Amino acid sequence: MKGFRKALEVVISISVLTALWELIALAGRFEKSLFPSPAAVLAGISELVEDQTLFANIKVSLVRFFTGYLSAVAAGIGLGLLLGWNKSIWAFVDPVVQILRPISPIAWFPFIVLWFGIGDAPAVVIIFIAAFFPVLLSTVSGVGNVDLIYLKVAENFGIKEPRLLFKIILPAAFPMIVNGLHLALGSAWVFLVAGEMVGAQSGLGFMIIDARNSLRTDLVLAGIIIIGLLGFLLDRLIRILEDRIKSRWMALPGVED
Amino acid sequence: MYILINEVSREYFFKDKGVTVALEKIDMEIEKGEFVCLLGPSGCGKSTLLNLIAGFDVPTSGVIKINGEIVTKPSKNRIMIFQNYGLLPWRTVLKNVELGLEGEKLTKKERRFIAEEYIELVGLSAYKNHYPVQLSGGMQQRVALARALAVDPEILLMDEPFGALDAMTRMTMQDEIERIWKEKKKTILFVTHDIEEAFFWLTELW
Repeated sequence: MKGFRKALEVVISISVLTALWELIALAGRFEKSLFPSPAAVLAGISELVEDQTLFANIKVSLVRFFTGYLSAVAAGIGLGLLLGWNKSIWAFVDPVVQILRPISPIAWFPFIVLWFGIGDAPAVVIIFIAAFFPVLLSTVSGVGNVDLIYLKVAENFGIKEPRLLFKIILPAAFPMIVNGLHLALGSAWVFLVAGEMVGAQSGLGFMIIDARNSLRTDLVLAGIIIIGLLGFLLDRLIRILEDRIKSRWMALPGVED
Repeated sequence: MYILINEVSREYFFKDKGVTVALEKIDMEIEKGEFVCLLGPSGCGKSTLLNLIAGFDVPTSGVIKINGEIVTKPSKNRIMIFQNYGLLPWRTVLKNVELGLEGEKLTKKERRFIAEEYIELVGLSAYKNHYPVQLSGGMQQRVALARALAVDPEILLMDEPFGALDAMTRMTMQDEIERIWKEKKKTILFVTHDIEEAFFWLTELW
């Protein structure tokens, strides 16, 4: 029943938006290329499906995305564990991170091209930068907030470093790390497109630039919608993972009192 | 003397508030296999004393000796049981009980065998593949007990272990502890602020 209602809400919300959009396109008599109608965009999507560019580009984008994202996750969690545990080192690293973090990955683009060339690498590097900081920071703070009782239990049962890090600290910090993974996924997806718009000859971002260059705004909008849908799907997937982990971890033993 | 507590004090120093004395010159002697219940109101220092015996903390003055050796750090020979159990929520019951055995020279099979034996002892064999969150408070405390017993410590330190349990569950747990104490011949230090609970254990008062 709840699922049905939810589905109904989604269908209604999207239908109303599409209807409004079509109405404005019809009533406003805009230049077609300045305001493509839903029908035109739908036709654009099927055109992209037919000439096989859509799935090829999605595949390229997803491969880049996961390469950049997963390596950022590995690096962020690994470094976050070490730095979160060694607070004296983190005290020196933290200021640097705080300065680097607010810089848009795109700002590095000139250097990225100089260092990594063109092709897949720039987009991957930009995704890496976008995902790295949220993962690093959430890991450091997760490690810093591990419940003292776990450390006592570990000490009592003779679990010492480095086993302590992997057996106790990492899993205990995991709910907070997963928060970071979720945040990172969102921002990495945003920068995937940006990265592909400036430095790639394939992928969803490039698909949009390519359509713009041939003045096919219907395809531009088609690309935008596909990106939105895929981003939404990825977000759902990681949310399922997040919920699963939290339902097991968060209901911590003994907090019922 | 098995456990010797000699003029033990523990003071906490605060920047602005000066010194708080949690324990002052405590003397105590405990024989092997004894069941000692520490009764007192909240904040009287009984948990502090337990923490010192466990080795999580060190006295500001005085010494604690166990088997003639001065306590300076925690050991598998004295396992603390906490009020909020301290189970690892990402591990199943079986894996929780195996925790203390993982550092020892045992094969996977031996480890499992020992863990299952103690899970059986606390009557949770049917739940060995459950996660802590799927168990009631009483069952979680049984898991903590099995985990402690699995490393075969000589001393069990229990810090208000049934404080979060309802009265009925508490009574069954008390019987269980009594049975295990007699069967396994452990030395048990039991902290509580509940007079009724203390009287359950009482055979001798000083």
